[in-house]
Amino acid sequence: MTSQPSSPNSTQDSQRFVTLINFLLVSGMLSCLAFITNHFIGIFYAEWEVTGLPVLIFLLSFESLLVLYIQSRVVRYGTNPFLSTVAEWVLFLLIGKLFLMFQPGAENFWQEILSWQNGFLSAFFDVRYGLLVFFLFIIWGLTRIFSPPLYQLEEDQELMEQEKLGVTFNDRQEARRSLMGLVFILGFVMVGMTTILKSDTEFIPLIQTPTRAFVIALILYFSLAFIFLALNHYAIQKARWYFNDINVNPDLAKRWLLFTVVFIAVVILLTVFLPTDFTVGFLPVAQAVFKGVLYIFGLLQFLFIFPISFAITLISSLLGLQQSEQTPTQPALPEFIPENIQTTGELPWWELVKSVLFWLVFIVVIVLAVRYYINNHQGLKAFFERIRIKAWLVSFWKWVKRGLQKVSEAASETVQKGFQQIRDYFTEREVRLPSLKDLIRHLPPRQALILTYLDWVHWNDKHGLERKSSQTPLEYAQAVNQRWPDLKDYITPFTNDFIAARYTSQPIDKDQLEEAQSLLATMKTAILEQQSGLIEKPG
Amino acid sequence: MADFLPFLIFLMILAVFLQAGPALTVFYMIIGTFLLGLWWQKRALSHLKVSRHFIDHAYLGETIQIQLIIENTSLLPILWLEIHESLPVNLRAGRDIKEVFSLGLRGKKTIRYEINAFKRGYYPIGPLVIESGDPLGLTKPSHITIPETPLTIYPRIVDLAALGLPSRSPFGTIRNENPVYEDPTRLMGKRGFQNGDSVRKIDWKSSASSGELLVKLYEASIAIELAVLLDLDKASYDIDSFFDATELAVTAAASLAAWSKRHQQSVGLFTNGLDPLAVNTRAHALPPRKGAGHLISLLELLARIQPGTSSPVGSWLEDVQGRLSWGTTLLFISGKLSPETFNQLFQARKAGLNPVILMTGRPQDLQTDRTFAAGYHIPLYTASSPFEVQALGMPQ
Repeated sequence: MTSQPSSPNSTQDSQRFVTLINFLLVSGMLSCLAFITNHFIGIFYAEWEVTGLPVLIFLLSFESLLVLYIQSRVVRYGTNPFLSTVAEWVLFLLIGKLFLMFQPGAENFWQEILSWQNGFLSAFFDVRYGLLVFFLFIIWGLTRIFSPPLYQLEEDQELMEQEKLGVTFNDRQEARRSLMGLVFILGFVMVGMTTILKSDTEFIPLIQTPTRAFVIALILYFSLAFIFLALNHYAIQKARWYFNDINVNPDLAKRWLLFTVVFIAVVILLTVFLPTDFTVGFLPVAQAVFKGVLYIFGLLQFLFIFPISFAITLISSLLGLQQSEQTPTQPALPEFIPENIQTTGELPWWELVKSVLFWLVFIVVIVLAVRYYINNHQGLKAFFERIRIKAWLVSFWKWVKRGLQKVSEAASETVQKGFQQIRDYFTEREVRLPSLKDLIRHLPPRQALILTYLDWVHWNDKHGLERKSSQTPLEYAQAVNQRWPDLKDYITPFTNDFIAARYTSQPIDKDQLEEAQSLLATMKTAILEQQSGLIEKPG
Repeated sequence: MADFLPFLIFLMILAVFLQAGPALTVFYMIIGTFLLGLWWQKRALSHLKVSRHFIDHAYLGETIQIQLIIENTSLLPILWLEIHESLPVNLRAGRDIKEVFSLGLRGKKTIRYEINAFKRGYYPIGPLVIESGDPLGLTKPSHITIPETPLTIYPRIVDLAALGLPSRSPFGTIRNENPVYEDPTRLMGKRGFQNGDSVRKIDWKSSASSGELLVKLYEASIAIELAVLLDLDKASYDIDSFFDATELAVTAAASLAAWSKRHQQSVGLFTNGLDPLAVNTRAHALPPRKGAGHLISLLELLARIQPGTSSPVGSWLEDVQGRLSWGTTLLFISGKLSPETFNQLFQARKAGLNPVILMTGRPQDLQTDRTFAAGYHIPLYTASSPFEVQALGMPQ
């Protein structure tokens, strides 16, 4: 084994160190409570102007915790708890009075003493002092509530030995639960007081202290509380490990404390940057987000359609095709104008972004918390499973997914068809180009006749009689004749016309060309008729 | 913490309605602590690299050093890790490895421990359960399980120096007094020709050089192809000495295998014991072969094998003898013999095999068994302790 179990002395030292840290943490937490309570009392009692109350509470609560610890753990026997409490309270009352006598400054001390001549009791036990004593009593009571579970969680070697043997039982989880409850209740009381202090209600006077101070006090309280809870958790774990004979690294207590401090620091850093104020409500934000989504959709549509539309227009103009009189509407860039945003700030967009961020974080946090809660409560989980909400959601999601897939497939098919049409358009253009009809009209009769013959050859290529490159015009005519004997009377003069135009210098006139074109038309018709089964002799 | 969540959510919604910034900060902090803790612990465990190092085969009595390396491959530290390595009771008397420690950024922890190979077997080292949680205890601790790694401890092997098993296979590597099995590859010397000597034995070259007719003398040798039939059926052993007798049977089988290997003989193993690694736990047969690799396979099977309720000896013997070649020495190890078994072994003898019986434990009706064995001309040995296994070879 690499690690050795810690010795009793080192365990005792470690435990005392942890106890001391716990006392300091509790005192610090009560001090934060005192800071907020001090301002809260000021609302109801305007003459309550006390400075330094958190320091006083820190010292007195620490003293109270320490005294109680010494009574119960160090000097277990021979002390009278009643007398000890009376002595403690006498000390509290005196310190409390002295503390108030120096408020707001040292000069008040003599005025206070002089006022005793007019009536000691009324001057000594005034309303401020009464309130302070009441508050001290609450703090003292809180230390008394904090102490027993703290002792329960303490690593008492003798007690733990007995527990291990089964002689006694210490419910540490219950102690921790009560501490956790106490910490959260106090925290929420502080949050409540801060909310009231900073609310815009008419009867509450304006507080000079900035909101940031209260936020810091709250963060400090919860930071100390979390460190306190972490140490308590360590105590429970330590006991568990002890009962299970598990070797524990001796440095773990210090590392636990250090790690918790770093952990809390990270949480605070994250928390500070999260948005807490929002100017736009949930529904306007949802409306704006919805419009934003529509805007993005419109923008994508625009980005997709615009290049295609532009390309088609460009091609049409290049080919000299006539534009229809009704010009289709060009897609316009969508505009995003969120409505109903009423902000007081100068930058409504920034306010909107902050609000969107806030609501987003808020919803995510709520959803995660609810999810965790349901997962940790089997009864609830079973209930939700029983009502088949999950199955319903799954089938709903599948339905949405199917719909989206269909839309996607349809869109993809449309795009493919579009591309196919564009491709066909260009392909057909290539085929149409060799069509010589348009060219023949503008050429002299000789060239036109030659091209008419070429048209005949191309047409035959398409209709099953390909011309070999070695065939002369007469050989080709013979081949045509063999294939379609009925064309004998037409193919010979047609070929002769071509030979005359191509290989002789005989003049070729327009009549000859028209004759050749007429022969060609007749032959094509005859072939088509033969191919379709309607054999009909031409002429 | 989960118990407080509904309350927290309610307060958070209230704070939103009241637009209370400080309250929201606090709620973010509480829920942030909770979520960060949850994420941290999940991430910590998913970025752990665990390896277990040890020599996974050991001989009885050896000490095995095991090294468990747990490494944090993440840049986030891990506050606490509770590890629990389960160990077989036979090797560590029920004590498990349990420890709690923390791991820094890319930290590594090496845990070393030892176990003793007290008993042959096939043991799982582990599984290792690792648990971790957040520092505040707001979330339930998460855990991962690293699967176990097998460890094989070979059975005890005793030196069988005086073992003399019968064989019908000539021309082997073991010297034999019977001149019937003269091996022409093992020349022992020469002598003058005598009447009756085979002409094929005349050494012509030596005769020519010496001027006298000389004949070659050969050393007699045999080859023992050994098939160990290890009967581990529960019914074949007395309940009083069941554990010792079965372990002794395994020891005898392992020792015979080692002896065969040392003498470069073929050895095979047929058993009706239960093999935890085999399909339906029926151990597969290892036919006679030579070599170190084969011996290791054989010892591994003997390490794993456990006695139990299996197929009856009669049908099993019949099945095995059909798979052996002529002249093979068939060593049947069991704790109890029945007339049917004797009959089966006699049939094997008639088929050209050399059956030999080794009885382990304390057989109750030994005298009857000896009578039967003598009647069938089958050698019978008994062993009630490893020392008696060591002294095998003296027919009783």
